[in-house]
Amino acid sequence: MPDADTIFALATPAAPSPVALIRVSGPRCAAICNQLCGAEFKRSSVDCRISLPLGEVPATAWLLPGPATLTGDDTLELRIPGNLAIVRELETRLRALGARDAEPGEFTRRALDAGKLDLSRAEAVLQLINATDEVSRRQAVADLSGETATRIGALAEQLRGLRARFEMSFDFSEEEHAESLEQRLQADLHEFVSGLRSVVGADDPAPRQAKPVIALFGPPNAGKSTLFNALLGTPRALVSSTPGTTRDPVEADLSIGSHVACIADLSGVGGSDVDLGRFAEAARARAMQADVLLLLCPPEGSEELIEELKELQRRDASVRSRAMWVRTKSDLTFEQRANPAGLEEVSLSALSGAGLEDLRSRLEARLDQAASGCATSLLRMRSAAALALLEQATADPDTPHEVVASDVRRALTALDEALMAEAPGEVLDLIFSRFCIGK
Amino acid sequence: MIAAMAELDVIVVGGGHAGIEAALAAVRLGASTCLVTFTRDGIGRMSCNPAIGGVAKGQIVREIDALGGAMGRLIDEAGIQFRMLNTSKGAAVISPRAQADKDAYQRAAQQMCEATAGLTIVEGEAVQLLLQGGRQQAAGGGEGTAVTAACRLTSAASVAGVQLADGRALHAPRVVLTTGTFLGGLLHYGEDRIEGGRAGEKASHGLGDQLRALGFRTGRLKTGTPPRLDASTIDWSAADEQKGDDPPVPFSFMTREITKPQVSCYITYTNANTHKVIADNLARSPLYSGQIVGVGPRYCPSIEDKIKRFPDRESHHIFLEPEGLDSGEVYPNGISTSMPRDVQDALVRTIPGLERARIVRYGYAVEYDFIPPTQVDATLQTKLVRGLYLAGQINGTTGYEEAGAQGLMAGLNAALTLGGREPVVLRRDQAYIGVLIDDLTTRGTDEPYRMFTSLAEYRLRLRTDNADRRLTPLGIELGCVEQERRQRFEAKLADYKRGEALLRETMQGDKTLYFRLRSPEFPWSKVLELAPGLATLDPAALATLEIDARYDGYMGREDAEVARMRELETFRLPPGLHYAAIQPLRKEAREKLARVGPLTLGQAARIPGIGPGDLTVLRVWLKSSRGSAAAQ
Repeated sequence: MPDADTIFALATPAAPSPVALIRVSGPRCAAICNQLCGAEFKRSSVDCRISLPLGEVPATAWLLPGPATLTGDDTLELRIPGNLAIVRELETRLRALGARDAEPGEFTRRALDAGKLDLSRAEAVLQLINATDEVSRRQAVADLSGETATRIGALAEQLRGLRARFEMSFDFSEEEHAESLEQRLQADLHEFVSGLRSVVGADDPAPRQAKPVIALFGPPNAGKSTLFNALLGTPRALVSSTPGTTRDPVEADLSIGSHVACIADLSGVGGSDVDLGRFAEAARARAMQADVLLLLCPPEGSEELIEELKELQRRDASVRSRAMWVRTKSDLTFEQRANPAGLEEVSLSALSGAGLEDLRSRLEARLDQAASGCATSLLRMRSAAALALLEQATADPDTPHEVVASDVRRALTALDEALMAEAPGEVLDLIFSRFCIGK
Repeated sequence: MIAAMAELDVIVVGGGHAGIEAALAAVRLGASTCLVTFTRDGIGRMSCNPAIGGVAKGQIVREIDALGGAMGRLIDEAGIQFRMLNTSKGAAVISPRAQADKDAYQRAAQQMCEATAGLTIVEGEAVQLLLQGGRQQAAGGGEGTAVTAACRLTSAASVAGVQLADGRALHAPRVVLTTGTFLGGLLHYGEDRIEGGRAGEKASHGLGDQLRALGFRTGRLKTGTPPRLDASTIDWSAADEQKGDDPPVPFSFMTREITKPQVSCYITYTNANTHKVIADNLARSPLYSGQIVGVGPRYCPSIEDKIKRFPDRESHHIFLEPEGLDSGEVYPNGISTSMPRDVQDALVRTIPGLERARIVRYGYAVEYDFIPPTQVDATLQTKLVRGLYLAGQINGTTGYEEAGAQGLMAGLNAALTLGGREPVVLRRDQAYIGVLIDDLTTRGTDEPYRMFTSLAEYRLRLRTDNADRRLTPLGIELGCVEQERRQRFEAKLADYKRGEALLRETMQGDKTLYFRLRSPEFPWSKVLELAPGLATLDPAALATLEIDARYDGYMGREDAEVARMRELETFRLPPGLHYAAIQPLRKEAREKLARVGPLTLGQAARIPGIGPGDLTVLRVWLKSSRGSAAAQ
């Protein structure tokens, strides 16, 4: 992606919050600043009102001319009310002003290119990029069971059919029934655009996983409940030295940095009791869904935990990027317990408090990354892009068919990307399955 | 004779459409080249449809021509009916097509090859590649020794020539295989099966076996052809006439006009009786009896396929195409079949106009080996054997034009790399040829691949009218374009630029004429009125200039996407990059990248399943200290 592009991304969590921060970086910042806030682009902070369809929105803009910025490029940070509708309208406006959504990890990549990030930390950065990307994907997958996504999926199928008819008219114009399929093509496309507009414009019901989930997972008596309580500061869970005392997953809201996360204490894993086996399966499911997975390893080590990690990875390879290896009860022994998968690791003693701050700050870093990566889901981003393309394509009735067809193709690519579907070649599949062609 | 060929640079195996382009291109770049073919008369034979061009294919022919290739000039010499397709649609999808007099086409091809100094034609069958280097397990190692089927390559080997069936050995550091449907070819006539690459010609086995022994994966494809009919036994009054264009528009930028007499084609239809004959005999079709294993092209379905899959359609078009001015044979386009002979007789007789038609040659299906093309890189060189290039149907394509395009690129690259020069890879926004080769080598194919305009993302730029402006400058730079073409092109380009300057300077109201042309209602006549200086310029230059002006606004929409794509194309990936060691990459991404071995980040982006996050990780990793160390 050329660095000549101006990119933007939401830098605060998607969950309802009082304030949202959008960061913009690239050569168009000065022009955008001028258009949005009417201010001259020099190093300063400006209070202004941004005019959006919803109304005049109060904003604070930090104007940061490069090269002394995160990415080395001109950067604009816009602080606006954290209302999701406002955020979306501002994003639409930014796209219209020539900026585009940042790809996963793109800000970090630019920072690295500009020499702003220490190269020796590159590996850690890459892990985070991967995690961010995984979060985006998972968010998209979570979105997929939502109503918006189902409707967009159906629209993609419709658009694919329209595309097939366009392509029939070029590549198979010699075929006998090509004429009849071309009639009504423009009209059908207009109808489609209205349909897409109503879905993209609609407000999402509250996103499924508004709060990130931190799961504590590990063998019986690894110290999950103790850690849970220590992080919360209140004795919420049952603690006893008899293994298997926690039965039901216990959850609570936990404040970490600027985030509110849901922390879940999952029941003990492994064990030969059939009863425990049932809960163990429920625990695994929750572990896989978590945004951060803390694997608690007690002083005596845990073969079961290592096996469990392998099992989880077998079901979903991306689990690795979300997991952390936590050596609990560090007050009991100084023995080294091998971190089998080379995960990020922490040693702590919930009883003495050692290592707790370290854990908190790591959790905060992860939640920061996760939030900025998936705030505007891929689904929403690509659907908006598809709509913009099609509105452009249908704006002028004199536009030649092959130009419209190009826009239709790109709109379809955007939707397919959002739905994680594979694109090229499918048009041909559709044409060949439906229409009898060929000499 | 052969002694004079001690200094051979390039050997091309196979004299079909790919072979001709490869051989001639290599010679144009100064390589001493040899074309090996079973028989001299087999050169340039059209195995199937006696036609060149069509939607997307016509564009390819123009591109081959723009780089100095043969196909455009050959069809101009042999064409007997020319039609420009999609003229009611926009300029981006207009494509030329022509019926050929098959014999005339072949004669023209043979004459061109024989008249080319630097090209030697050898009649013979290539049975083995000669190799050198690489660890060989069989006895009898040493330079230029034939590798037996028992050998396996354990390290990079390079090609040293070919061994012919009669015992002769030809030595050269570059070999281009353009064997078409001959590798392991099996012909199916109903329940009969005979070995052959084409009716009346034998198959080739040694090469296929050796390639497998060397570690190449092969697959099996099939293609079919209709029966040929005796023209004098057809009742033409029962069919609809389809005239060609008048005047016919040539393919080649070098042809001033078509002088050959032109004919019409005729259209008739299948009906319920035809369908009944086929339905009743479906079990005897090798496709449905399971006799044929290979996968066929969906866009050239046999008539059995059509009947079976679309039983509700009451009739299908059949185009009666003359095979030549004097040939007396007709090619009924639309009834490709491998049904037994008696069924073919029966089904032909049900068709209006063909009630008394005599079948001169029966239709058949041919099954053949191909090399799944991800085993070849974007320059068409194989990844396993240096100096060995594959082009044409051997890579899984169908169509003369697709074959010719690959032959041209393989021939150019074989010769360029000999001289230590950089090989050429055309981009997807540069030519359909670029789309074709990129699709094959990045995504592979498991059915016969054919070009469609829908496969080109930048269709608006890849037009028939601008093929020369897109590619001839490159051809001039490479040195594969003849002097006369260069002169004519440069003159046309000069006129184009003068015309463009005039359009951009002359105003109508507050906008330039160039801008005004964006509206379809603004007529060219008005432009000539306001800028009379245009009248002295080359009409062909003006025609393409007008199209550019009219599309100008629309092409701007694609600019950002094109810029992004080009930027990714310039980011080269270090050869032999060990993807398995790049820990931050997703496991799935590592596997896919390792399998294809992309040359650029752009190619990596097009691998199915590789996403933007993967590209970012790859970029960042290559810049980090670990990455730049690996790159050295």
